[in-house]
Amino acid sequence: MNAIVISAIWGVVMMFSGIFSKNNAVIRGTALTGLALLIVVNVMEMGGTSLFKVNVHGMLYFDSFSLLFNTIAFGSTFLYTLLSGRDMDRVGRSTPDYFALIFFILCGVAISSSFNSLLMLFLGIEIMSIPLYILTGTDKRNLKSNEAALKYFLMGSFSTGIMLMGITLLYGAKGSFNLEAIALGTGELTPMVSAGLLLLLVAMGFKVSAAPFHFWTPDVYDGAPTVFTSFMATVIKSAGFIAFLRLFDDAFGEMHAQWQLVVAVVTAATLIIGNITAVFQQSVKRMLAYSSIAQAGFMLFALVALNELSRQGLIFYTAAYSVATIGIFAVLIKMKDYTFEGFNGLAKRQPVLAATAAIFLLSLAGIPGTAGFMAKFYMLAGAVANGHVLWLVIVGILCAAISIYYYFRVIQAMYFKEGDAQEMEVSGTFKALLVLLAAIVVVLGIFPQCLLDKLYYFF
Amino acid sequence: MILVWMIGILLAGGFLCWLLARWNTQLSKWAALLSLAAGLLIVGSVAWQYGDTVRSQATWLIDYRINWIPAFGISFHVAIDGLSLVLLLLTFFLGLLAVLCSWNEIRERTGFYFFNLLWTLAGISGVFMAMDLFLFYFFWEVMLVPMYFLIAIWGDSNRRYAAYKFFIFTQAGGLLMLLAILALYFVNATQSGVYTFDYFDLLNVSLAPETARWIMAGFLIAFAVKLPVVPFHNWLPDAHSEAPTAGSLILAGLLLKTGAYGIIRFVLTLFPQAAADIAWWAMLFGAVGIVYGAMLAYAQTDLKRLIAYTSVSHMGFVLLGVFAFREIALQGVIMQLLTHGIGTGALFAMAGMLKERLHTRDIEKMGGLWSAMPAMGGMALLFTMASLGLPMLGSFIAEFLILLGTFPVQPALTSIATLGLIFAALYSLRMMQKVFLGPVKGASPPKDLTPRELIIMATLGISMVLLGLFPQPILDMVKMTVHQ
Repeated sequence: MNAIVISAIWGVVMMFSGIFSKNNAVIRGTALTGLALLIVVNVMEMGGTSLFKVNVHGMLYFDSFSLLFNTIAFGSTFLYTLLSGRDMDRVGRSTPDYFALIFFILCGVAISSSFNSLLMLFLGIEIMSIPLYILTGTDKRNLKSNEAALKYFLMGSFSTGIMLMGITLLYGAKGSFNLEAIALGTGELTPMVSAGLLLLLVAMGFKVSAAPFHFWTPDVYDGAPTVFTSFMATVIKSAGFIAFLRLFDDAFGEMHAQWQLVVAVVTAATLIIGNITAVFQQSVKRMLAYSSIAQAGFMLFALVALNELSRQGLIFYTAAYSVATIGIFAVLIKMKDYTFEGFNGLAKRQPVLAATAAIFLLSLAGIPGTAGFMAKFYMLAGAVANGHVLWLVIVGILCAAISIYYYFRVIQAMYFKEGDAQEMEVSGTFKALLVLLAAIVVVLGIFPQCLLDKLYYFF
Repeated sequence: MILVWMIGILLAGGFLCWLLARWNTQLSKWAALLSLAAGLLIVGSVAWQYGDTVRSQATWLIDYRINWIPAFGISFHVAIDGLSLVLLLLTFFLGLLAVLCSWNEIRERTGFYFFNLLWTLAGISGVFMAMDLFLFYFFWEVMLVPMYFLIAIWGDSNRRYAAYKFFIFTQAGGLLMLLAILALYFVNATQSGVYTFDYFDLLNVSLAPETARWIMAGFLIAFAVKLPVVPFHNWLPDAHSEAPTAGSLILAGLLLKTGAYGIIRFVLTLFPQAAADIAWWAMLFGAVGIVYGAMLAYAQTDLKRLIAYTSVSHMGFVLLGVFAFREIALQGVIMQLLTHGIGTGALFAMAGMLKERLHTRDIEKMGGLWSAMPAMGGMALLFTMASLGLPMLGSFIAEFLILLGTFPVQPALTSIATLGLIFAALYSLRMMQKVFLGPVKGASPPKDLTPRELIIMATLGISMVLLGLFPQPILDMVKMTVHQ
C-alpha cells in the first residue's frame, strides 16, 4: 500500500516541480529522491511496517512476491533514471511531465503486482498503459514517434476492450470480481468461463507482447524515443508478466491442465518468432525489440509450468532482464547510429562501454556466470519439473542457441570490426554506473539466492 | 582446497595479464607464463604426493566441497582421481606451451589475449575436476566464451565465420546437456526426495530404460559435438584452421579431450545400461569417423585443415575404444587422449611456425623446406610418424591397446578401424613430402627454429617418446579409474 500512495503523490509533486524550477538537474534530483523514498517505504512494508491503514476490501493483496517485485521495479527505475535521466532532456522540453508520467506508471505497476480483484487488475493495467501512450509520442516532431503512439494507443485500447469483455464474462459466470471467488469451483470449464479465460489470455498476451499479439512491439519500440523504450521494455513489461502470472495462478490455477497447452503453444510461437525475426534486423534498436519478444517467450515459461520454482524464476528473470536491458539501452542512447555498423570499433574508443555492453549482451544470451543464465535456468528447471512440456523446453533451448547469433553480432561489431569514430560524450559517473550494473549482473549470476532469499525472510 | 588454487591461479593470472598489458605487454606475457608454470608446479606436486595412493586405492585423491546455491542443491564440488589428474597435467603442460607459442605471434591486444587464454584453460581444468553437474556445465561454458574470442579476434581471414560456427555448435550441444542434467536432477529428486546436482548422489539414481536413453542422448550429443563424432564434426576444420596457433593447440590438445572425458566420466557411469545398448552404434560411428577423417585429411591442401581432419580420425579411436567396455581398450583411450594432445598440438604449433614464416597454409606452395630448416624437418618427421602410429612413440601404444581391446568385441568394426591406420600413413607421408621434401619452392629460404620454438617442439617430442617407451606410469595412474 505504501508504494501505491507515495507514487501517486509523488507524481503530482513532479507535475508541479516544473513550476518551481526550470533547472532540469533539480527536477531529476526530485525524481530520484521520490524513487529512493519509494524503495524505502516498499522495503519497510516488506519488513511489516505499513504507513497507511486503508481498508481495501480484499481488492488488493500484498505478499512477499508482489512486494519483492515492486522493489525490483523501483530499483530498476532508479538505476534507469541515474543512467539515462539526462537523456530525457533531449527528447523535449517537458522533463517534469515525463517524470510525473513515470511515477504514475509506477503506481500502476504497484497495483497490478498486488491486485486481488479483476477490477484492480484493469485499473492497474490502464494506469500503466495510458501514461505510456503519451511517453511513446513525446518526440512530437518525429513522425515515427507519432505513428508509434497512435498505433500503440489504438492497439492498446483494443486489447483493453477485450480484457474488459473477458472480465465481464467471468463476472457473469461467477458473480464476483474477486480472484478467490473465481477460483472457487472451477474444476470444470463452463463455456462462459473458458471464453472469459481466453479473452483475458489474449489481452494479457498483448500487453506482454506474446505472439501472435506482438505486432505492435517492434514499431512502437522502434518509434518511441529510445530513453522511453528502455523503460517500456523493462519495468512495464515485467509488471505485465507479474500480473499475468498472478491472474492465472490465483484465479485459474486449478484448471491449469486445461489451458496449459494453449499457453505452451503461445510460448513456443513467441520464442520462435521473436528469435528468428531478430536475426534479420539491421538496427540494434529493432533487434532489441524483437529480443524483448524472445525474452517474453522465456518469461512465459512461468505460466506454462506454474510451480513454485517458476514463480521464483519469474521474479529473478524480471530483475536479470531489466538490469541487462537498461544497461544495453543506456549505451544505445549514447549512439547516434543505431545500425550494427554504428557499433563497429566501439571497443577501441570506449573500452568501458564496450566491455559492460558485452556483459549485458552475454546476460541476455544466457551465458553462465551472468544473471541471464540463472534466470533461464530457473525457467527451464521449472518447466522440466512440471514434466508435461518437455517439447517446449527443447524449443526454448534451440531458440536460446539462435539468440546467441544476434546478441553476438553486436559484440562482434564492437570488438572485431574497425569503425570510424562516432563522437559521444560520456561522463565518468555514467561509466561507473555501467560498471555497477554489470557487477549486479555478474553477482546475481553467481549468487542468485541473494535476491531470492528475500522472498522468504527479510531482515 | 588445492584444486581451487589451480583454477584460481589461472583466473587471477588472466586478470593480471589484462591489467599489466596496459603498462607493459612484456610483463603481461611473463605473468601468463608464470601463472601457468605455478599451476603446473601445483599439479605436478599433487601427482608426486599422491603417486602411490593412486596406484593402490580406488578412492578419490582430493575432494573439496562447499555449498554454492543451497536452494537448488548446487555445490562447488571438485574432486580428482587418476584420470582427472592425468588430464590436468596435460592441461597445464600444453597451456604453458601455448603461452610460449604465442610469445611473438600476438601483436595486438596482448593483455586481452592472455586473459582469454588463461580463462579457457581455467574452464578446461574446471571441467576435469567438477563433481557437481551444474558446476560442470558452468565450466563447460566458461571454456567456451574465451575460446570464441580467441578465434574471432586473433584468428585468420575467415575467423568470424569459424568462431560463430564453433560457438553455436557447442552451445547448442551444451544446452541439450543442460536439459539432460535437469531431467536427471528431477528424476533423482522424485526418487530420493533430495534435490541435488552432486555426481555421487546422482550415481545412485535408477532410471527406466526409456528415460535413461533420452537423458543419455542429451549428454552424448554435447560430448559428441566436442569430440567430435562424424556427423557433428563440421565446426572443427573451420575452427582449428582459423584459430591462432595457441588456439589450435588448445582446441586440439585439450578441448576435444573434454568430450572424451565427459563420455568416460558421466555417460558410462551414470547410464551404464543405456550406454551398453548403443555400444554397437557408437563404435560404428567411431570406425566411420576414423576412415572418413583420414580420407578427408588426405584430400586437403590447407595444412591446418589437414591436421584438423586427422584429429577427427584419431578421435574416432577414442569413441571406438570407450564403447568396447574393456579395460584394456579404455586404457588405450586415455593414452590416446594424451598422445593426441601432444602430437596434434605439436603439429599445429609447427603449422603456426610455418605460417609465421611463409604467410600461407597452402601445402602446394610449400616444398623442400628441409634443406632450409633441418631442425624443424626432423621434429616434423617425428610427429608425422607419431600421427601414423609408429612403434616407440606414444600414439602407437594408444592405438594398439584400443585395437587390441576392441577386436574380441567387434572384430568387423575393428578391422575397418585398422584401415584407418593405412590411410593415416598415406596422409602423413603426403604431408611430409609436400612440405619438407621435393623441389624447393618460394624465393627466400625461411629461418630454422629459434631457441624458443626449439624448446616447445623438443619438450613435446621428448614427452611423445617417453610415453611411447614408458607408458606404464600413466597406465598405473588411471588403472583404478578404468577398473571401475
